[in-house]
Amino acid sequence: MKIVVDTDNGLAPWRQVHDQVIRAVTTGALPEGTRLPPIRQLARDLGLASGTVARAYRELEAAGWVATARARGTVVTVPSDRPDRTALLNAAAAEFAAHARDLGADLNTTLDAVRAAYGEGPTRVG
Amino acid sequence: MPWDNVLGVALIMGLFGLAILIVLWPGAKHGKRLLKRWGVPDPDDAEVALAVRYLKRRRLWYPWLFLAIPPVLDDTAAGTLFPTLLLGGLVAELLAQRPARGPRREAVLAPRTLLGIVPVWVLVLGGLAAAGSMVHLGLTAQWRLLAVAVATVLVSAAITLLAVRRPAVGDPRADLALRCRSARVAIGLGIGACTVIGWPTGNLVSFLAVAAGLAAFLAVTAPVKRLPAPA
Repeated sequence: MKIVVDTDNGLAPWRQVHDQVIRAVTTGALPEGTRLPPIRQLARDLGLASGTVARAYRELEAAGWVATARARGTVVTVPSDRPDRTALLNAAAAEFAAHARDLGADLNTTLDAVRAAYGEGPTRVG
Repeated sequence: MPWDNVLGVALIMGLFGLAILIVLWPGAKHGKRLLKRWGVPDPDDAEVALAVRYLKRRRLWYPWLFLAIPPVLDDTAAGTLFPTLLLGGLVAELLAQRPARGPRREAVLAPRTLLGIVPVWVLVLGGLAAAGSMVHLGLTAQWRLLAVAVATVLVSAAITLLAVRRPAVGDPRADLALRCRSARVAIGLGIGACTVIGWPTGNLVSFLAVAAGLAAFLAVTAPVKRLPAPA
């Protein structure tokens, strides 16, 4: 399971790590009980400060997505109030729709863009 | 020695080193062969480029170390091979510790451990070879050789740990293959060097120790056909 951080995309690196771990747990790419890399290893691999990765892990732990034990390190857990896939999809769609409205795109153009992103059709810029 | 002689020797050694470097300089086919031997059966171009850079980082240092070590160790060329390979590997692993640059960085979400890269039996063989030669040298009061053996073990261990520690680069399977190769070759060279250093006399016990050391060296440095399972 790979994680990618783009320091140019405007989102804080800790947030990118945080969001990708949640996505991986939600989609089942990281099953419950999976050990995550130690903070220093992940920070070195991503060229980030240890504090940046530590913050991502701290936020994940606070939300119940991971648990840290001295012997086992950081392990994936399932939070009791974990949103299901439909709820996550709806949240992502709402966020995307808001972006599309900000760009002045109508519904059809927006759907075309989604289809193109899925590899199902051409992008039409309106 | 007069200065013009020193300059002449340095010039000849430099040209000789350059010639070795040209012969050793790796290309794409060397990178591909390396990956295939270490468990990546069908490497793509990016993986081959990674392997070539890995080889270049080592081979760049070999000629200069090979030429510089004999005067330092007061040794012959034959005894220079192990230190050359070990120090070349150490420099390469130290260079590989530099953090990822560029805006887009990738990592694998799995812990990396020493035992995930080197099997236990390799570590046991390395420990036995190191302990055997050091105890033998200590008992026979060969302090200078004991110091060389200790230094060899430290360099070998340092390369192994640095190979586990260095930041991930490129495709995970090629990265893992190159880490495995670094660690196993370092431990194998450590076994070989400790055996050569630790059992210099020509009696039966020494002969058996050298034979066992050689067998261990070959077993440890033999390429693995299958990569270890990710942690």
